[in-house]
Amino acid sequence: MMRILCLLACAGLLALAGCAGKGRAPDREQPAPTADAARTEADGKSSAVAAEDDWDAAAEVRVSDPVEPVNRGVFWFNHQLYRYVAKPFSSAYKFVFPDVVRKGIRNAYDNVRFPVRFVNHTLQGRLDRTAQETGRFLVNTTAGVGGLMKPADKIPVLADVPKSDTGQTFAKWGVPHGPYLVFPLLGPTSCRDLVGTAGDTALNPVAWIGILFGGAAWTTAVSAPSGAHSVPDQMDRYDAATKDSLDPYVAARTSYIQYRDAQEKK
Amino acid sequence: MNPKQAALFLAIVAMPMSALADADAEATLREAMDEAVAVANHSQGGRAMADKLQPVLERRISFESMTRRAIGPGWREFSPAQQDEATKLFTKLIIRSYSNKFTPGEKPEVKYLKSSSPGPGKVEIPTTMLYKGSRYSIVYRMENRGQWLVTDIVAEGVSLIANYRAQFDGLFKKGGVDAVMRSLKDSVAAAP
Repeated sequence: MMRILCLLACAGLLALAGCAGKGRAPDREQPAPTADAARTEADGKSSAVAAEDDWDAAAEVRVSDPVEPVNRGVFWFNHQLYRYVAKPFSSAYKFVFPDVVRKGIRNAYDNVRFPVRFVNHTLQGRLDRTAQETGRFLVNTTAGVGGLMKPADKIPVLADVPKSDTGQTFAKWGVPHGPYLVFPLLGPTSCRDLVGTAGDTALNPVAWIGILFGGAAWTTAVSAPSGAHSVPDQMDRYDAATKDSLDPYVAARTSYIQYRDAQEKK
Repeated sequence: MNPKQAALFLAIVAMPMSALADADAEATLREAMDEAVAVANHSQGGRAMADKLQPVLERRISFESMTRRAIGPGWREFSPAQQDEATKLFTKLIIRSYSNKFTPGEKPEVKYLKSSSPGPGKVEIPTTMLYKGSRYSIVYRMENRGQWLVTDIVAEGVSLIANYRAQFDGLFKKGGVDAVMRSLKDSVAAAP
């Protein structure tokens, strides 16, 4: 088993190194046109644009998307899947399981992911958050009946601890996003977050079930409710990012990158 | 002037102007939010809610600035009539988009956090909103243009202007002003 873990770790590091390199490549970067262009114009309209350059800088979201045509194809496929499979499933799931049940399931799986947050807060040097996260886990597991409820939210010092994952840790270490990717079913990610997801999976006790009991079937059985439960939430996020957009692909891509950057800054 | 009054006077005089501006902007935002929620709760949702909210939001949000910034430097290629039409269409799109996220009767619980000033006449007010059991982090960017107006909304780190800027850029590069106008018209005409 150690050999497999070593191999996985090496593959992850290699992929991350590749991501970092590609992330620096200037090709197909898609920033907004430079604000300098607006500054050079002397007419009234352009000076109105130039006068707001300081805010415009915040409006530029740089994304490396070297495989955009492929990503767009996968995005289209996912969109059809969301529309014809996931949305009806989401509605049915919401109908069968009331809010309180769904919330309980979400809380329990979130509580089990404690090692992901514990390790990453520590790797980011945020020992205060490591301590808070440990406190939350202890309170929610005991008083919250195995994590089904979140009584820690009512304790000011334990409430509102920012989430942490391996992708964020890489970001804190200075690893750039790298190319933006869209996967069938799984949706958008960046090369950095893809490797981060592998790290999160390795730290997630749900994945350990398969290793302990010797079969992927066990992992699937334990993680299936979590996957099913997350569909309605994912649908809501997808709708929020793409509804009323002019180009849903670009809207989803920009939202993803901004969202992840904001999480890193917390 | 008794000592208590003197202390109050000194506190006001010594208070930095930026702190006063922040407080003023926050008061305006609170007022705007309360007004918008009250109107939303007295409408039937969907397009009816958007129609009722439009005059309220137009008083509190600088849609002209939002449209100009969302379109970016390409804005100077628009004629004044096209700029006006683009602003009207973008306003409709944004108001419809935000109206669709609210359900009449559901009151959001908003907590205002410490604001900051990125420059003169500009304030960023972070908030957390508890709505239908979920908590959201929303930052309101405001500018003083004679009165405090919202110029961008950043929900969970996603800036409304940055999001649309990326989309407008692609359209503008492909087909210039016509492509942007066509896309705006199509989006507004699409069913909510």
